[in-house]
Amino acid sequence: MLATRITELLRRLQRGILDPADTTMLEQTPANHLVDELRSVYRLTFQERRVGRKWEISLARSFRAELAVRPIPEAVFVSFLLVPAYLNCLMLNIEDDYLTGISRLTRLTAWAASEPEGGLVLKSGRGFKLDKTPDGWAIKPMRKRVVKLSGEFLRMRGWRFDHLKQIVPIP
Amino acid sequence: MSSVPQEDPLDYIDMDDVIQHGDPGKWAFRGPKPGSPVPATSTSASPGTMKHYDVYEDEFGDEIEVHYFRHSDGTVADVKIKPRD
Repeated sequence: MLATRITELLRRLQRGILDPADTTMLEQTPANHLVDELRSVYRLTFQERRVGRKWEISLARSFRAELAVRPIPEAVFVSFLLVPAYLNCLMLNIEDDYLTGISRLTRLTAWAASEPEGGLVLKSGRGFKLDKTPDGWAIKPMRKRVVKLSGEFLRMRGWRFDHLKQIVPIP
Repeated sequence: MSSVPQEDPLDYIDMDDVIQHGDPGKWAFRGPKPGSPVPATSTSASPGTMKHYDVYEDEFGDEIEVHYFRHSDGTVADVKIKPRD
């Protein structure tokens, strides 16, 4: 029953539809039940953090290496990089054991940022987020973004580098 | 002056919002939204809880609002990002 309701929620989230039945279900279902159910399908955990009464966890359905083209400054050639890609991602935010945010992204790719800052450049695909704000539930679009985050920041945020190290050297 | 340690709401920004708006440590604080904070009126809110609406400029130069509750013990809850009205 829970699996069916989650599947329906994710289908609506993919299209950016806010349904009161989904938010009621989220307010009544302990988050660990939801997480257990989601982890049975979205098996890869690439970020997890607990701070105060908050629990963040980011999952992906699959992970693979992709070939990306990068221009070389002042050269006619381009370079090719193996880039880790997380596919079909869910990013969950939980407070007091109830979900307060869930975003669904088509993909998230990562590559090592250039020195001296180090860290990762993350490129996200489009998606939607269902968010419980202080004024109630809202749905918002997630845009394609490229963001550079330091290694220290990502470590504090519980980013998991173990599987990335198979593909990219992390400074 | 309050002697209660105040949690920083930026420590609680959701990771998906970090990917959308960049490292919160690099955002520029633009001040509270006019009228903020206001007492939280929800029946589940503990006495003394205030609802805050702060304005920031994110790493991409976009103005965003950080909405959150601050309890009387200095802790924060339901820290969420909203595009600027």
